[in-house]
Amino acid sequence: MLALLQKDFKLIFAGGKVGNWRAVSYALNVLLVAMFITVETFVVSGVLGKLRSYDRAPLAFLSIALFIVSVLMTVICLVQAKKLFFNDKDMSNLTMMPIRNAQIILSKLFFLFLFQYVMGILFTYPIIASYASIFNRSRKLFYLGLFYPLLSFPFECGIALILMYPYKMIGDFLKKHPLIQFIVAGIFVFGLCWLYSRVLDIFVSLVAGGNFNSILSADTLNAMINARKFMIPTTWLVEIFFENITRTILIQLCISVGVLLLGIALCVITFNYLRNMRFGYRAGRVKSGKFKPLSPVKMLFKKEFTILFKDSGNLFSFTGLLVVQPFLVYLIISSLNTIFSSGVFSYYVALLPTFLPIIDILLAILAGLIIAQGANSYIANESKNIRLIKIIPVDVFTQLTIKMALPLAFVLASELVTYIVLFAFGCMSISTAIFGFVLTLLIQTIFSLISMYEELRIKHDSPRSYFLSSTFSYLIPILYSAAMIVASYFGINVYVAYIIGLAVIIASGIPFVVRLKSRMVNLFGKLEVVN
Amino acid sequence: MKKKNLALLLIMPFLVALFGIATIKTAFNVIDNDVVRINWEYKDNELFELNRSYELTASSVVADSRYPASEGNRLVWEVENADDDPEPHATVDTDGHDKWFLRGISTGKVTITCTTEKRNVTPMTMTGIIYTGDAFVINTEVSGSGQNVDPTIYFGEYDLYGDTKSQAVIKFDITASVDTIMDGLAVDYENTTDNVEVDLANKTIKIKNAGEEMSNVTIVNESLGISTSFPFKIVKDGINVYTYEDLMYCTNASEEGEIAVLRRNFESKANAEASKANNVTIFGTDKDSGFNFNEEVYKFDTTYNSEYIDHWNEFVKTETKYKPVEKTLIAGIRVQKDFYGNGYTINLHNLCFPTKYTSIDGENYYEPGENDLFKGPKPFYLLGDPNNMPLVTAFGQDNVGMYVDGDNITVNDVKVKNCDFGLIVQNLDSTGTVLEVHGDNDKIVNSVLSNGKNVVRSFSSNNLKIENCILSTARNFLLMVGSNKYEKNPDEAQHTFTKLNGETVTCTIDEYLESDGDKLLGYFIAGFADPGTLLGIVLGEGGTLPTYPKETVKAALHSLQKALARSDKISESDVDGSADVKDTIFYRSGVASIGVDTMFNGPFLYNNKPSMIETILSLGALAGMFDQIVPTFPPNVAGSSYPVTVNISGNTRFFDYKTLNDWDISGLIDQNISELVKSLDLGRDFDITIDDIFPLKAILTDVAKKNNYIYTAGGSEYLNIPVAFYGGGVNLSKVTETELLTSGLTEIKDVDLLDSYLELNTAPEWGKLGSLLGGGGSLSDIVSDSAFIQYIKEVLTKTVTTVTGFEAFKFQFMTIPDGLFDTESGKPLTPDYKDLLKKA
Repeated sequence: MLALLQKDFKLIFAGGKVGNWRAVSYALNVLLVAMFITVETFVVSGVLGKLRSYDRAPLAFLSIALFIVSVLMTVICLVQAKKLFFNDKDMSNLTMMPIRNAQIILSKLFFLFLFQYVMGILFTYPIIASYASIFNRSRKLFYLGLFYPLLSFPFECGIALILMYPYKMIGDFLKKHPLIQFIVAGIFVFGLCWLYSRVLDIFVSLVAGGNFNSILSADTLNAMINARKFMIPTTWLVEIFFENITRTILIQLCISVGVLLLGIALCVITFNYLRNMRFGYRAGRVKSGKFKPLSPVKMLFKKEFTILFKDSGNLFSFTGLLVVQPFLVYLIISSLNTIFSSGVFSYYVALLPTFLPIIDILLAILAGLIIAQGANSYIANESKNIRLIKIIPVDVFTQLTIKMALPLAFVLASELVTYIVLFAFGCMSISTAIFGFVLTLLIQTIFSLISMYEELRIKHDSPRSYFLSSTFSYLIPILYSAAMIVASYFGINVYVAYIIGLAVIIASGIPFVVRLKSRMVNLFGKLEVVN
Repeated sequence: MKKKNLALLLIMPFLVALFGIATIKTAFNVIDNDVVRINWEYKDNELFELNRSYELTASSVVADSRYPASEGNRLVWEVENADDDPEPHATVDTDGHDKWFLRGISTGKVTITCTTEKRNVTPMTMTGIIYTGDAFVINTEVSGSGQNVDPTIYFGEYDLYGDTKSQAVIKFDITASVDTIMDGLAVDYENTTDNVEVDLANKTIKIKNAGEEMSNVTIVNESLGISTSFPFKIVKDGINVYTYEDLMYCTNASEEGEIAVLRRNFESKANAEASKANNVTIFGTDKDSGFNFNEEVYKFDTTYNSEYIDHWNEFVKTETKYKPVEKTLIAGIRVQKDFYGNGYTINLHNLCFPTKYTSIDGENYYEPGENDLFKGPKPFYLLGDPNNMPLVTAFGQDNVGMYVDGDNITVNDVKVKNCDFGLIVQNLDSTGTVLEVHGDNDKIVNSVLSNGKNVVRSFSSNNLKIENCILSTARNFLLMVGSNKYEKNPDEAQHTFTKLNGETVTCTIDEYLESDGDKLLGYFIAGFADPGTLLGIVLGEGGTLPTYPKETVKAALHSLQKALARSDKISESDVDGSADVKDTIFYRSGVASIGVDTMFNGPFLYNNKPSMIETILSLGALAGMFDQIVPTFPPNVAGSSYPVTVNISGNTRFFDYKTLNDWDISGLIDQNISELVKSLDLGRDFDITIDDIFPLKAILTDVAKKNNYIYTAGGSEYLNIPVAFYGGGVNLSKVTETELLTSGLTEIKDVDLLDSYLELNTAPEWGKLGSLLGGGGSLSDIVSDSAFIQYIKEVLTKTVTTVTGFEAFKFQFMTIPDGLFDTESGKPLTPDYKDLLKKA
């Protein structure tokens, strides 16, 4: 059992990283969770503080907040359960081993429980503690809060297990239909952006002290109070934990356990079904199609285009984000501008005049870089096709240029639209937008070259190092921004700051460009072919 | 990694904002930089089409343009019906940030107001006509103030052309929804009063006479069936004041005074130049060489006790190296007849605000320049050369922005401020009193008076009425009342005194102070009554300094003060000044909202006792340590003040919570002791502040804490002092309350400096001092002795009391912060200036 749990742990947490990068990745995970909890606590405390004078509204908001967490936990559970139960490689390995099905399923369910409990505590406890401290509730509530995820788990896990197989089926279907996948991905990403914008709106109104009261109109409060009864099972749990109403415990337990049992039953059936399917697996017929002869260069472009737009992984980390980037960056920058233009925060703007333009440009650059990272595995993506690219009759320079040019062009186009949107909606002045785009163009170009250099150095026993590209793309812009904000205090002109930025980027990027140019052919030749 | 980076990006705005929250107070010295003025370009009456959305625009000016406005200073707009229709005619909405929109939802008349979230600024208001189809409105050519408290618009019966008065002509404009309306306009004589003559072609209204009550002009377009009325009140014999020359004609240049009706704002040069409105002009005559107010201001001799000045001026006749002190004070405007402000502002900044500045840590501290006329108050008494850094100065009467000089004068609906001073209250030190009343039965109504050393001063004026006003932002007091009348002590009167040994003696004050009284005071301030014994100890000849029970010393000092009080002559009923304050807001004083003054009347002012002070100050000069810093010690310059009464009533409120740190009495008494010590080059500096020599703050804080009058919020301690009875002489004045809606006023508490001073008993090791002197010890050795330094500070502290007198100061506090304190944010609330409009 322990061995199975250990295996499942690796299945969920193991990435492709080794050594220091894994440590960095874990550290980043912890940091992200800490940040999330900080923001969550701030928002929940802020809203509860504003609602304290309204009758029934705090508990209604509490129900909504915990319900949102519950939905989130169900989604996480769904994704993790699919990974645990329907992983092809894991299933093949287990099929070969003399382990009873019940043991496998039990270990996976137990692992799921542990994972969900830890995550549940991280997300729900700050909410419970905020409420308890704002409303001066007894210490008992702080203690009882530790048990909240225990009671919410059966329902959330049950729903996730029920949805697990349909979720896999839909995923498989979408993989076979790229256009539908693209549309669904677009809707999904836009939906997330919308949700993000709502949360950001509430946060900004809390921090900037602006129109929060207008958000809390009588209609909103009534709607919130009325909506509470539909927040199942959260509303029952809130009654149990916060209102000391115990009559619903039994109903809640029965329904939750019932849902969980149903989920487990479905999970067992589908797991066995898919496991048995593996024995009867036969390769399907390969679709045949017309072959259109194209020039090698065109063909290479087509291939890169296919990788970017048909790969499901890229859809969420690159292509989808390209589309939403203008909207997303606008949301982030306009909210920051609002925050730093209001109340005491306007001190930053008044005393550090370049603070906002520099921060705005930095965020736009970082957004573009993060998206560009989604498509900078130029060589790694080729996998077994490295053999092919080494033998096709297209010179190295042309091949590598095409690999870099296509994603770079898309990122820059998206960035251009982003800056236009930022200017058009008054988030940036024309000069800031122009200088911002020029800085972005330079950084993105140099970042692509460094990424290519790192990719060409990938060896069988040495995975890609992100050190140079990360240092250049993140560290230099952040350090530059910090230095310019400090310089702003001493009265540096914003245009001088921009020009220094251009000079810094160019000066720090030139060595990489020269290095790549001189070693490109050599490194390409040394690329290892994978069989 | 990619997904995590994205997550980081998404969480970035939250983090940056939270970082901002965490660092804002350590990164910046966050100050309450409030909006002090709202500007807009609307006229008094504006047209708004039904169901159409209009963006409302205005701009704000903050106290210090280098800093952003603090929280709660965003502009907010409000609309309410100006007629009796219960259904709203219009709504205002915001996009949640800084854009506001008005939308008419039914036809009618509305009042549109722009203020700030904190509402502590005079709001701008206009009348909006929500119309459908055809409509027009009438506006005066020179826009109204937009800040009327009194809803009636006043015009004077006359205009001025040079020095010639002639029947007033009001120029007006008509704004119509469509141009064609203008063609069919006619005067509706039935609804136009016959005391005016309307010329539609030239758009003028000529005043024929003042008429009885309200005057009215109605213009009609009969073919369209629409009309508009323009009601106003003509002030009989009033003169419309459009220019600074008009203002001077009605005030300073007029022997008898004229009734003034303001028709423009009179602003500082900077504000006027920044304004685009046609209703703003400069206060003063701005020539290439600058302002020259000297020929324009009203000059008058101080009405307060000027015996010290008289004595000094006599003294300088023989000691020609010193310069005399003028008794003349300056008033920016002398008002002798009724004054109608129409909500306009008179900002006397260019006259009152000092021009010489020193920059310390990036902040400018101002003091009067050579050519400035406002150089601070006249001295009531001082030690030293009045023209050259006197040691200690007690202040008398100050220069004035608006001097209401005469009986039965009403000042209505005017905003007067002496300056725009930024945020450093010390810069108000020489800016003078904003409005001083000198006469009986005067009234100040519907007005906002602000920004001066004191805001309103009324001495020996009876039946002053202050109603529906806001008095705001004073270095010392928002209302300072007192009497110019006082009684001096006759030489021959017999009194019973207590001696240091507890025995009593009956004699004249002079006799007592020449012997036992001098010893008493010497013992009180320096710890020894017999200098001879002390000298023996210092020289190592032995001996001990006798000590006396504190109760005996206190009783003896009180017996002396009682003798100085002239209780035979003055009682509580001998009132020489009264004020009735109703529905008035007191907002932001440096010391207290209302200061009830009595003259300093210590024994040193009577006949320079204890003689030790004079001896020490003279010895220093004899020893060549410094020049004669106190060239003369004028005797018998004080007396006992007559009492005054103040009655507060109605919805009078005190928005005057301040932190203990901000409670600052350095504007009451000036001292330059630290500077003197620096000039002696003793090898070290004494850091002596007003709180060292006059520790009223520490003692008052103790009293307030013991009685739970300190309100703690947000980590700061706040106190609110509505009334301070100030001055160490006997203070028989009364502050009463009639139908006062404000709760939380405490009983009056004595703050007895004497009790605290008698606890001070630090004494240097006199023997050590002697060995230092005898053994060749340097002066710097002596001044490095911490006990000696502490001793000197205590001597100075108690010396001040021999000047002020030994009577306890009295304070009234505010306990309940309901409606005055925002308990959630932990900050004092600010008044809603719009409240004035409701009571007008």
